[in-house]
Amino acid sequence: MADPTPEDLKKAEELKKKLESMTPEQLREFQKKNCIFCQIASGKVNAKKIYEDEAVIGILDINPANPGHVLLLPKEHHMILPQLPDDLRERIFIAAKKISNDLLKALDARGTNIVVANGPAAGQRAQHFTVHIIPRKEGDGLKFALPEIKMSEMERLETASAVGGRLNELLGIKKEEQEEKPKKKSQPASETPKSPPKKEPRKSGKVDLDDILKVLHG
Amino acid sequence: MADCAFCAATEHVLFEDADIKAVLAPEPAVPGHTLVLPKQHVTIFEQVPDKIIGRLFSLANKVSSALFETMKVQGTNVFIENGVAAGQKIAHFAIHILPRKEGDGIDLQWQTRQLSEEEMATIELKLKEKPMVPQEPAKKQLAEDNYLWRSWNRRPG
Repeated sequence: MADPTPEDLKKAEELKKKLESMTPEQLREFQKKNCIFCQIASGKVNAKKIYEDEAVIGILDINPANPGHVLLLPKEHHMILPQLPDDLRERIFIAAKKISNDLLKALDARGTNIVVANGPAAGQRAQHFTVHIIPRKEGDGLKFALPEIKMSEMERLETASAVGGRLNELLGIKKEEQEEKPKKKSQPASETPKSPPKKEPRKSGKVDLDDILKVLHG
Repeated sequence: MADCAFCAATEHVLFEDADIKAVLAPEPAVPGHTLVLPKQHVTIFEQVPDKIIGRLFSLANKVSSALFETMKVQGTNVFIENGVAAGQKIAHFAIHILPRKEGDGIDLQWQTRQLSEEEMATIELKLKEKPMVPQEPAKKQLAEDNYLWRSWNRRPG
């Protein structure tokens, strides 16, 4: 890319100032005007809509990971999950379940991945909150890699305490209750600090799962 | 179910009520990797009752915020593996909440495919043929699914 000219820099500076001077409402309005998904939601830009209710639309991704890859979005402009009102969040994920079911049945998929990215480090590209619903088949070439790391029991306890503490604050659970609960849970854990993970249950779980589609198709 | 690793996950519980819980993943991908689960042993998303979906994802959202604030990360993923073909390893529905940093070894990116207009139109048609019901799916269907699941579940290995 060519270096920005002094004029470009001046324009960028002006835009920055303009954005900084905006109220949150104005800022949202500005984002909305420049958001492709808002334009799809309002019908200004065409898309292959496969789901719609008052608050949510589902469209086919034009750059799919697999055929049938659906983007589910709120019609209202929100960037990330924590910004969604409770009723809208519920509505979106009930719709996600329905669409996942439709993909399994109508496209004969063998599974679905549901992916939400909050922030660029998590892979978010659009400025509009999106739920990706990706139909899967064995050997489809998609590989979502989750590494496995080792954590000591001490690290786990520290993480559980830090995250659990903050979570309970966010949930509005009072401190007394919150202290009681981890005690009950962590006491047996600290008596037997290094119990190895049980491996057998996973196998039997897998057997059930191999025929998961029988649940749906009978 | 007695032999389910997630039903048995009673250590490092971050929150629980009568129906749902949040626990640290027994086999974490990154520090702070958390699972939000229905307590009832259901295998796939389609079996999760609509009436607890709002609460499950409300909890997932709060876990995501708690991780973001306490784990010094740059973002979070909410990730569901629904079925073996989608990478599911334990036969108990779970929402994975993954705190994310650059270069943390998690890969949830994908190569995009180019489909022809005709292919896209065919998919659109197939999906649109399904009735567009925004609310609870028909009760009969649910009962049928449950029946099928139960009868399948009783079969030996």
